[in-house]
Amino acid sequence: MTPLATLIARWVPPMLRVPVLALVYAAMVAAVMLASRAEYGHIIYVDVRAP
Amino acid sequence: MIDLTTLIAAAALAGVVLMWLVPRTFALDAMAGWTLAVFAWLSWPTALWLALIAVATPLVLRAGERTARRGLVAGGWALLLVAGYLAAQTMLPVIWIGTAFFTLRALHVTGEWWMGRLPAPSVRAHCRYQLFLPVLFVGPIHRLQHFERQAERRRWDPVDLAAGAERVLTGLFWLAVFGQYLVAKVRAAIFPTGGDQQQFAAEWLDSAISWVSLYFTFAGLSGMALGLALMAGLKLEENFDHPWRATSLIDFWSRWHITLTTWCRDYVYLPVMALTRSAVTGLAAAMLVIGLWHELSFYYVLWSVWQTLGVLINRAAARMPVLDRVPAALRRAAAPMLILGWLSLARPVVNRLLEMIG
Repeated sequence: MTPLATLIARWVPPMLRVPVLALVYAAMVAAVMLASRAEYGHIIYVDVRAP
Repeated sequence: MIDLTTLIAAAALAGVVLMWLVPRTFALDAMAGWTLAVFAWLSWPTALWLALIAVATPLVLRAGERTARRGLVAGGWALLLVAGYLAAQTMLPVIWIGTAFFTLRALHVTGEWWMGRLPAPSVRAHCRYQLFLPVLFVGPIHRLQHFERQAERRRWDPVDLAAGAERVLTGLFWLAVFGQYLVAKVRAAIFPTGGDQQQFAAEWLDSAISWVSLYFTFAGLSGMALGLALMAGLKLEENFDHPWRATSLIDFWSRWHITLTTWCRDYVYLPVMALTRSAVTGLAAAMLVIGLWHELSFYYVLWSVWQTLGVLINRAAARMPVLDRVPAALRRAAAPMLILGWLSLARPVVNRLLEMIG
């Protein structure tokens, strides 16, 4: 099991585990897509040095 | 427009798929070829320098095994690697990708060989180690011995694949939602007009917010890299160990960017301490390398002095009996704030010093 699946298995009854996990993944993807609209500054640990 | 980070992450994912499509014996060679092709497309100078390092390092070390002057060979090659890194830092009309990471990897191999802890690797083994796209632009600075063990143990495991994919998603979430979006919202709420960075307190607070943002961003990116490696069947070294749980500044530096700090411990701190018999000199040298690794500037020289001072104060304070009277719970609660306070204080203090120096 993945770490998130293990965490969910602790709190959620067996029959709901898969749908809850799918919901969590979907929510994360949606949040990333919404957040990615913002403009990022330079991230110093991404080692890309450009003019 | 797709930015370079997204592009490399997508290319790394394609490389992982490629690794599972080719026979197991050639999986890492396929990834190495793919990595070189991607780099040649994005930045041919990086591809050329990386390929040269990947091929020449084992050849130089093998040649060195036939001479009695191992130190001279290792030292000369290390100097050339550092010179190449410095040139990449200053040749800005050209895009350079990942030089800070693959230079340290090559120096690690050279150093281990010189100390007799590692035989000269074969060209194939070293190319497979250096040309592993998921970790090339954001680390971790993984070790050759560990990488080879993982390559030998590599097996198809759907659980690892799922855990790796989940880690990539979690890393992306940390990076985009916490590290960039939420921190930007907090910053906008605290500094609605952009903030007066001339004010010491405002600059200090902004610096503290930047450290929080940096943690989520960098830990997210490291998580993505490690997740992609896990999807490819390799468990590489962790870069973070819950730094907010650190109980002191010394503890913090063993939890933050672990592969860089352990690199500096092994190849800077310990050798300098052995040469000078001074732990303080070793610490100052290691911090200087950490600082200059980020950027070659006088700012980072002063930054490293500040961080060295922090560790020394931490060491001295740990010996003060009065601190033993402070309840453990209070110490634990205050430690993260004190650590963040010290780390972020570097920016306003160093900027004031630079202004004074002119």
